Amino acid sequence: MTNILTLLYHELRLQIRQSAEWASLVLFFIIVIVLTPFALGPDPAILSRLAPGLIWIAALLMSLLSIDRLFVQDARDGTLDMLLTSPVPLELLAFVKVFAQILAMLGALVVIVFPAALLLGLKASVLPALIATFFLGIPTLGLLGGIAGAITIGLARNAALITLLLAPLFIPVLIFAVSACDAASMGAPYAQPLLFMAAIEALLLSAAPFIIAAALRGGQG
Amino acid sequence: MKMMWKLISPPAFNRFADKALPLCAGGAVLAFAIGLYYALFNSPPDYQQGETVRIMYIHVPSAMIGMGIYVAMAAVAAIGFVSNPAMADIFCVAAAPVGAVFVALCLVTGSLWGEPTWGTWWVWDARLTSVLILFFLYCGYMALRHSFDDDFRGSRAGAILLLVGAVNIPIIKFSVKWWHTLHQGETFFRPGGPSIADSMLRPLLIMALGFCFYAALLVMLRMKTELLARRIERARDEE
Repeated sequence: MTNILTLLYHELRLQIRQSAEWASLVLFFIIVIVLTPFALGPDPAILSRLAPGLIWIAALLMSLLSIDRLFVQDARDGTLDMLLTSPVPLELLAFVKVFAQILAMLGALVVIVFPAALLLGLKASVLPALIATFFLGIPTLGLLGGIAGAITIGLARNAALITLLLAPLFIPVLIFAVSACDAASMGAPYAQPLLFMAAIEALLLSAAPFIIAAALRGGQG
Repeated sequence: MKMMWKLISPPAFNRFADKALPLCAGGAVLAFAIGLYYALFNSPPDYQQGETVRIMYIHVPSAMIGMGIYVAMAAVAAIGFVSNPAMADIFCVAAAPVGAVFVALCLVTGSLWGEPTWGTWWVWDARLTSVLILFFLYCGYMALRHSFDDDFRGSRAGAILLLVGAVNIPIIKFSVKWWHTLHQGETFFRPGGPSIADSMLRPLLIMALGFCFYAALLVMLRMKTELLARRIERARDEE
């Protein structure tokens, strides 16, 4: 248990040390949001209606950019070999690594969703629903990203490939997230799509560590 | 079951394929000849859709085969984990492009059928969308599998992706149903029996049988080719 906490601490510190990289990811997110009014026109009614979907698309693109460095750096500098030979189960180690990434991602998103909401004129009543969908959707995205990152390890230039693998699997979460926000904007109850998102998240939380570990072991064979 | 375990050794597979290939070829030619005759000449036009309904005899079987091959690939990949990963990989590598082409055929014929009947080439309807996603799952598998030079590592990564994708398919189908639907509901598998007229069901079933033979033929031919290609590669490596 202390091993796990040590690793989590180490991973979180790594994420903080890479703050320059996170800053560029945050800027990337904001730039995507800023570009949309130019593409769709500055009509506040349209932007406000599309805001949850646009913010989710920006978050998706941002996390796709951050995924390919999840295991790649470790594979390159030998950390992964250390983890593979560690007495602690690889499943746990892989989960902790992905979990740290998810925490960093959530932390960044919960802050930058406010300027994005302002820029797009998101209704204040939708904001709690949107943030709830982040908490239920970003871990799913991170775990799926962990799987995609683990099976493409050792491949140079895997960013485009990860997008291709991840996008179809992520569509359900996107649908539920946006429909929860739409329901919230009409003042309707939105617990149902959130519960579906939670179910998908629970499924992945239980299965993904084993899949990631299996892929990491195969990648070394 | 015993036969299946035998099939997972390459020489046994080759012997089986040599016997089965002519049967599949003959079956496909026969079924297509009879099926197309019924489909094009000896079945009634639809009372609403007219002659365009004949697109169904290509559209529905290709959808069946396209979905069936993905399920088969995922099942074989799962079996491969416990038995013979190399042979399972050869099946998946051989079957993926075949399945992708049938799904593409289903999308194209559906689009051609949609224009005269619904008045649009494409709608974001639940079934159309989930078939499109299936097409991307095939693309993802093929792109992943082809990025590996090393067959062992590639086969493992590919198998994991197939299994994750297969578990996701019901979730995707369900979530996509969340939007409302323009496509007609289930026609065959529903309580109270098929709701399609016998005169249309007969050619459809014959065509579906022909598609099955044809898909089996393609997959087995491609598997034989893949086996030979890998043998050549091994021989080259040894030189």
